[in-house]
Amino acid sequence: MKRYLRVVGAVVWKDLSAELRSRETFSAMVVFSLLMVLVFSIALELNRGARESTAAGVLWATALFSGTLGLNRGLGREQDRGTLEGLLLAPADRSALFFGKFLSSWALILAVQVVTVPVLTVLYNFNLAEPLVILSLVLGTLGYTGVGTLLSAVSAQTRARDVLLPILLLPVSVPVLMAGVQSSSAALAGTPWNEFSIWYSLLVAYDVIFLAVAVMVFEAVVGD
Amino acid sequence: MKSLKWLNVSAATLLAVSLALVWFAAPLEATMGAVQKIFYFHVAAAWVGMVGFFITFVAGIVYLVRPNPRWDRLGAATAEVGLLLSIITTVTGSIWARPAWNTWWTWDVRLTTYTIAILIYIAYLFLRGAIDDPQRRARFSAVYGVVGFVSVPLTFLSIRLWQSIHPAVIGTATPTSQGGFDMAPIMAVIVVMAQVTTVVLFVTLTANRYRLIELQDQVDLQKARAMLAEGDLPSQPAASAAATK
Amino acid sequence: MPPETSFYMVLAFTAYLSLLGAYVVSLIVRRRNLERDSATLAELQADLDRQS
Repeated sequence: MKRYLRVVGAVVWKDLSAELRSRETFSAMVVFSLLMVLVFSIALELNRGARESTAAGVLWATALFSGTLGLNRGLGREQDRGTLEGLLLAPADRSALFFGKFLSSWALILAVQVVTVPVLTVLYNFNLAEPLVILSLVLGTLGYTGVGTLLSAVSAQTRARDVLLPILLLPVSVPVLMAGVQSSSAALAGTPWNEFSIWYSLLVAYDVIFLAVAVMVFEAVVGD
Repeated sequence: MKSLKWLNVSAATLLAVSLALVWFAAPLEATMGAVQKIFYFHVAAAWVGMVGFFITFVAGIVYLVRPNPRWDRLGAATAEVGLLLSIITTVTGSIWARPAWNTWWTWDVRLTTYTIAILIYIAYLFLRGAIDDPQRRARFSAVYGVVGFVSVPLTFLSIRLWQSIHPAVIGTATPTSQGGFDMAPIMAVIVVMAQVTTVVLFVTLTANRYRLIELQDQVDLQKARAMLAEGDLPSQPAASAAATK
Repeated sequence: MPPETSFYMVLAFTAYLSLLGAYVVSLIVRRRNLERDSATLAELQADLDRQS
């Protein structure tokens, strides 16, 4: 068990320290997020009235799309450098590699939200950093990153590479998007908690189910 | 080979008989008129399509436990035929919705879930097309067949929850107006006929698709062997000219 | 008196049968192409066997 955790920690540490040194993926994700916010603002002609109801949608679409960027880099990079084989030699279960990759991608995606949420708050002139919005972001990106880590391992080993990940990932993430947008906009509108708490249950259910599935089948997608 | 021909003929015959029954023997439904007749096939395509995806899911699990190319072929065949039936379901449902709900499209729970399922299985076929190595293709599509199918009930649930909060649908009639028509005995017979026809159609198409994948695998093997032989004998202008043809 | 919706009935059955038909045609075309490939490759293999 101790050894297992050490492998998970080593993978997370390796990824995050490499990212801290280059900040390559993080900056790309942040810039992409800001561009998406800009694109949405222009496309939807966000006047002040429309902002409150669409802010949650913009927040989630930005989080998911910039998320695919980070997920693509995660395992795609290992594939490019041929370091995946090295990681597979680690003296632990393959699922340790999965959890390591998953945690580092999740940390990256959440770190990007730490930038986009304040930016959206300033741009749209009302506070998006509500505790319940944060909670739904944390829960939603958890399941999304779990499936995304699995599917990025899949897409990284195909001919289509980066193009394939969003096509595989987005249709199975509809429950996350739905629950995320609905819970966030209800929280922003000040709806009583018991009227939308069900969305949080759905997010938790999604997280539990998909993390379990991803851990169980991860073995099949790494190393021949 | 012979059994496949027999299947094809019986499926075509069944389809012709069911169509004739639906067109000429089924009574006109009182509230919706003639368009209701598509429902015999629409409903059957809907559930048989889902069964197809379910078989892909089960075949995926079995393949991951016991890797045998047979399960991969089965999963690929049922996914493709399931996709066809789901597309048929949404298209006929949408055409039915125009006169019944006064709109081609609404974010109805079932219609939306089927549309997302269609996108998932299109992605599944994309994935298969993007991998050359047969074993890797089998493993990866088994994984996606499992992940994709598991997401469908959650998608259904999330859309239903959303619908219960935003019940306003464009159009006049409520999305429940399709249930409970008075069933004349002849209608019950035709309903059963349509279900049986669709199941036989599903089995037939799947069997044909399965046979096609077997043939594809055989051609791939031949190709690999030819390439290997050419590698052994590097100076074979005639052979390589034939290969590029 | 039921409403007149025969136009949509015809449309729906046309869609149903064309989708089904298109799939059957695609199966036949794919089968034919594969059989041709298979025959070409078998011929090629026979050539190679004769030469070696």
